[in-house]
Amino acid sequence: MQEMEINHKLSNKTSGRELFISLFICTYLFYLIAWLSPENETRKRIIEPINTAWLFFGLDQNWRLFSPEIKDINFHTLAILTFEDGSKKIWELPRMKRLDFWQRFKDEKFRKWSIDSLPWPDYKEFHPDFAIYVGKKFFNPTNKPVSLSLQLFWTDIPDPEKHFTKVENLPEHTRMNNVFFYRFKEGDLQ
Amino acid sequence: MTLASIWQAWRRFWFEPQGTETISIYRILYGLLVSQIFLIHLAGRFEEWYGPDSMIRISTVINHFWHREPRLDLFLLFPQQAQSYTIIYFLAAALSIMLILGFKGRLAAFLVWLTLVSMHHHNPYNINGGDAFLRAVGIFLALSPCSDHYSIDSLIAKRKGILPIEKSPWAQRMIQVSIALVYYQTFWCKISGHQWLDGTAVYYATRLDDMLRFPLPLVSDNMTVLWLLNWFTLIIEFLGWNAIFLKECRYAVVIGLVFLHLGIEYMVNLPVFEWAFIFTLFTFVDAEHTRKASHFLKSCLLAVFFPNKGKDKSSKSDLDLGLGVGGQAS
Repeated sequence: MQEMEINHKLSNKTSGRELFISLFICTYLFYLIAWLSPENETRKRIIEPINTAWLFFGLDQNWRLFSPEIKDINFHTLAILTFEDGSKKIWELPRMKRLDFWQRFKDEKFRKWSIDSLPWPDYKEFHPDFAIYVGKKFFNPTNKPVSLSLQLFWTDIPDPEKHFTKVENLPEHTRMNNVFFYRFKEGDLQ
Repeated sequence: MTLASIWQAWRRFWFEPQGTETISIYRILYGLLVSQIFLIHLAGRFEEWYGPDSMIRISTVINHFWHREPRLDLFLLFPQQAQSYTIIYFLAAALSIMLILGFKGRLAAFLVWLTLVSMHHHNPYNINGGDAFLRAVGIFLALSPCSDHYSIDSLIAKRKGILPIEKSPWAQRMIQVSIALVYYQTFWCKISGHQWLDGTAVYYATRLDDMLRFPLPLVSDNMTVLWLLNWFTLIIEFLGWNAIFLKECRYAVVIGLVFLHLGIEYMVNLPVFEWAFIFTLFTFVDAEHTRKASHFLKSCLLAVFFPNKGKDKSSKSDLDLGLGVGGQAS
């Protein structure tokens, strides 16, 4: 392709290469803009024929950054592993608030996974994988893990209209939900 | 306005030859971010995230994320053993270094893009918007003349007597359009919610305790400042997908957006995310300005490190280094 590059300003004549690239640009941008548009019947009809190929090449995009609504709760997750003898082990997934600057920076992928993915319903099919991962991580052959539960601790961020709260005074995560419970099956931890 | 004039305007935008200094610098910046991902965020943990015993198993991903449809994932071509993932990790890290150095730069960019696509398909749950954006523009970097300057490739070419020439910037333009579409979608999504319109969005954004980085009470604890930042964000993101393409106000919009991202970067811990956008905004800088800035920088460095060398000799050193000062074809 490099040999075909022109070394002077735009010539008057349109080249075949320009036409080909223009066609590619138009097609790509047409589908990309459709992809980024709000969900509706027209979008669905446009996307459907190219959906598989689009996803295959990882061209799917979503830039709803901090929108349309920003989370109005703070939360963290905690895994509780129960062993054969009834003892329990608590594993707090890397919690950014308690890490120093460097560790927080380094462990970003943990934050993304444990905060934005793990506790939410969209992720429920992956919960057994998570349980097995933790079970293996803390496996003890003389006292095997039998079950795992994941707890979500959370609190509301106070409404600024009613109770403007300074960052240093944000409330602790005092509410709790049980996200899931998993009992290990034969062979899970091998 | 005629169809012919529209077509000519289209051609000028996408194909009018330009210097390749800016896209070459972008290659280095992009490579630095990819290196950061591999050498910091994934160091010692690649296998834990992507290997056969990872916290998310590929069989579950295929069933519930791919919905049993085909996805590009080169990792599946390797034997599913821990050692394979160690090799993949070191290969990927080496590719990111090749990209920075500009050694087989375009090939490295293409392989880095393939690696990012594979990683994001293999485990889609640990990536933030910055990672996704690097994947989205990676293919266009590979299609651009990104290794024409500031690279080992350019040194090799220079030894063969080949100087970099101006080239059509369509791939660089695609990167610019890609970031503009980010601002387009995020702007419309923001104004479809309540928080951004009632001015409380930045209040909530600065109180997500899992993402806090450095405190800035003067900003985060003052509702008037938060309200102003809320509207500044909306306005600058609106300009980020239209006025940014107007030459007269392009740099003002770019500077506004860089301030936005730097502000978020200071207060919010989202590694890769903000720098992916800040670096991409650099693609809006004229090649001529990049050339002048790099020339100035090199003069300063030479003056600091080789103060006794004469001006003529310094210029020669630039050329000898193959750094492309004024490297336009005659």
